[in-house]
Amino acid sequence: LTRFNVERRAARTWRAAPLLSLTLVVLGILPAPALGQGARGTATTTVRYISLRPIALDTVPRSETVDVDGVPTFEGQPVTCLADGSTCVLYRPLDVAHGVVATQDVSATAWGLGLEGLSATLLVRGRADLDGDFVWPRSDDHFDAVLAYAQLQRSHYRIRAGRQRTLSGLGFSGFDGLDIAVDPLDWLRAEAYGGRSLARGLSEPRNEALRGIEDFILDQDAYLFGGFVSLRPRPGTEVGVRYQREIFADRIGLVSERGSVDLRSDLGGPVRLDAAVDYDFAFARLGKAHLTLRSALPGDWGLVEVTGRRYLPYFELSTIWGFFSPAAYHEVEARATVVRWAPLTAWASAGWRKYGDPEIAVFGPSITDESQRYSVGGRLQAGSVTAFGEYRIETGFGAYLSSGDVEVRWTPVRRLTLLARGAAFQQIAQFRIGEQVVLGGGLGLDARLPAGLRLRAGADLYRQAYENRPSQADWDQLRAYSILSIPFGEDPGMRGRP
Amino acid sequence: MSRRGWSIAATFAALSAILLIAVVARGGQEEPFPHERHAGLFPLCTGCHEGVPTGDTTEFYPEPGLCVGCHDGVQVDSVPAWTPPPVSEPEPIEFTHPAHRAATVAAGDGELDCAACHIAEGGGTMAVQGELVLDQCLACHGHPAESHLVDASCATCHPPAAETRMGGEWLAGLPYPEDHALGDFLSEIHGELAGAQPQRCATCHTQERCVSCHVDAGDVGEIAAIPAAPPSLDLPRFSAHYTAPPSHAAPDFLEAHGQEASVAACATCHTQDDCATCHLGDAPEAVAALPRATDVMAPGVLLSRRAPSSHTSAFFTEEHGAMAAAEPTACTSCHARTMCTDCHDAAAIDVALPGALAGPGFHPADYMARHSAEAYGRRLECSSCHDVAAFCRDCHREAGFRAAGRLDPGFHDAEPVWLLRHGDPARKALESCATCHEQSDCVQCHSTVGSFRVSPHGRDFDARRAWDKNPAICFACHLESPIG
Repeated sequence: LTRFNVERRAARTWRAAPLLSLTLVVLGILPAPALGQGARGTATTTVRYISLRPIALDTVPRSETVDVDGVPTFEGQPVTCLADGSTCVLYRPLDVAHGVVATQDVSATAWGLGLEGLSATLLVRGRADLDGDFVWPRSDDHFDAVLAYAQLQRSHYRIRAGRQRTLSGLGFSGFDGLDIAVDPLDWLRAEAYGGRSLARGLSEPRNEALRGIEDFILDQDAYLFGGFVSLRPRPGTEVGVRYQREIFADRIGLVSERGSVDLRSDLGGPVRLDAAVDYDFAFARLGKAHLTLRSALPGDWGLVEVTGRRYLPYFELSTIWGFFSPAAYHEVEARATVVRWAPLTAWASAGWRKYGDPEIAVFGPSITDESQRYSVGGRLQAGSVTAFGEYRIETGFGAYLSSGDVEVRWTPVRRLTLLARGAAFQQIAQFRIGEQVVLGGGLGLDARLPAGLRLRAGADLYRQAYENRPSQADWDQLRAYSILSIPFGEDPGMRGRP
Repeated sequence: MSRRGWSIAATFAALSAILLIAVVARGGQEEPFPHERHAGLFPLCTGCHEGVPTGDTTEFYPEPGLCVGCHDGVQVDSVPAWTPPPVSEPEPIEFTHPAHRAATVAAGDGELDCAACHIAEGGGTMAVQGELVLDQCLACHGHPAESHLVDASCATCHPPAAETRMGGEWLAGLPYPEDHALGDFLSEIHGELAGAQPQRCATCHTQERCVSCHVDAGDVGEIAAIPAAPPSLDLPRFSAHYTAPPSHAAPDFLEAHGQEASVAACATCHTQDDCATCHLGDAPEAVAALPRATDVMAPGVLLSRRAPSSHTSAFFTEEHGAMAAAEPTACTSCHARTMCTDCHDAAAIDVALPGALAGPGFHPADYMARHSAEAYGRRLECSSCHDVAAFCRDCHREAGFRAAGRLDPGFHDAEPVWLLRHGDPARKALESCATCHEQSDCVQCHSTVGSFRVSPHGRDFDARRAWDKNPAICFACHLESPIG
């Protein structure tokens, strides 16, 4: 593992170099007077302290185990004995580990570049492990250019070139390329985009981001192409159709081929409809879908909404997961929010879910294919104090969770908010013995400093206890964070005003 | 006396006082000439005021020596030395004797004699009262209004303010007509009045007064009809007063104002700069057509941004996505695009899930402890933002959760025969499996070369289609083409 991490770190450092250089070049070649005409940005520095307790696979001689109801146990914990008959294995907790990770984000948009409607946007991110016993995910990837594009926005069209991403019913899709959107008519909008595809969730080209990360991942660049047409047959109603495909650079095959349809309408009355469905052409199956009907309650009581939902995870063709025929779930959920007793806002929800047939004969007792979820909560504002509380319970497949959260915010002066929060929950993993009970809380602050600076900081301590899991001793998890945001430039909208 | 009578009397008294003050101011401290005592001596007014009918100011008054002819201290008591006052036509009245005489002649009234204006009705010869008997003026020029400051043809008597010699301070001190105090005078009335009677406005106002508020003053005919002040007129500094028309008070005005926006509708009060308070980037056509603040005298309404009413809805958080999708340009009018990505960027820091506890990031503060149950819940697709291999599995590896192979036992210890039961939950939660297991773990069994050669494909799996889309991945499990 150590060698693996060292290799990955080295690889990421190398691939960070050209992007970092590119960013510096872009910033350097932009004429200073042009940048001076208008730029707005934020530099955000985040430092987090995290403690966690890893586990590790351990072995015990079969002779040291005790059979309880025919199940071998060690120190009260079930163990799995290997085929050789002499050795059993179990996971043991290790010492609590600590980590300090820092993230630096710099986002900026510049305009006034000599052409009306022309702007440039940049979002870069740096990460580093400052201290600790473990590597926080992706903190060894020290640099990301998340966004870096130029945009020409005019009344009836928009052209964007560079590193960018679209957000749609298909999720985030990042690419280095060109996006052209036109809305020639009030009721029509069309968009086409394409370019070198970025790995999902990684903001880097696929062959760079995924190289060596796992077997079967082709060391290939890919290109993404997509189009979107949106129609507004009448005010308040819009329907959009999107098609998107990713293809490997050598055209050996597709990474994905998907489409989606989105519909939103006020139905000409107080009821609003929001529906979406996506389709995976590669596997010829529906993916996620939802249909929500939302209506205000009469007499300003609040809002009620009912949602029907389908969920089937999406997997690229570049992995084998999608070929394993995942089973979808279907869910109905109702939610009501009451604002009648302002400043109290209260809400409650209930949902019922059923999984599709996994088409597999289960050896032994059946595994549930239903789950329910309920929640009730409220928020109350009284003067400078805001209190929030919510209780949720989720039962069914995979895990059981019963959780309660409270939070109180106090704003003694306009620029300072102090907060205290607490949480208690019980979590049971269906396929692991024992239940986890967590009780904890923390303090935080949110301070608006002169010159637009904002500092948020806090620390939380959670007592983690385990029931029916003897080897898991209770322990305390400490988390802390500090986030300093420094704005620079001028907000084109607010003109520097708060 | 009726209320109307009192008003008239008060007005006349005020006017008389003004005129008296003017006479006194002009004539210094000297006693007015006792015309009646000289009635038998001077049968004609023009005997002394010869130049008045012709407008010859040098002959307006008699020679000072004329008095000494009688008041020599012998025959008649002497009088103090007298000097004729400087001659000017009365202010702020637009009046010259020759013109007035000509006008009456033209009107068929014949030449008015001096007594018609300077001697009260029924008064004897030479019963001159000051310079003017106002009743006599109003006998012809009167009007039915209670006060002469309203609803009259001001230009009959008054010159335009731009031509006054009284000075800017005097102009600024003029009393307001009563209609100026009406609540909707600025927003509704004054424009109509200016269109109907621009001379009335011009009596007290110069064009500069209009230009100080009207952004589009150069395009308004009524304003052009009002003379501009000459440089010599020391006008005070005008401040702009804008009142919001009733349409602006509508609850949905912010959302709907674009439909009615035009130069004609907006340019009276608004410059491009006003609109740019909210409209960023590529301005709508109506905005682009407005004058720039630097090109006009009027400052325009200095707007401050306020959130549209839709933003104050209790459900705005839930609804704003649909609204943004329906009218994306409406959002970009006020919001820089980076404000969207502040929230809709999973890796961003400055956000929290709606309704969740405030935490340092997108997820609530204690999310790490409870995320496994949330992940099973799958309301959100974790992989939209997190790469399962690079993020989830990376962390699980650090925490010791990562599987080391197919037969790596012990983790799912609540299921003693997990290997025989894992298929059902795997198909229901494949994403969760992938956060610990690599593909190679599964291929150990689920491949044509694996130990059990278990097909992972469901009943509806279309092998031909998959082959057509990406044949390369088939060879992860098959040594040969699976479709023959």
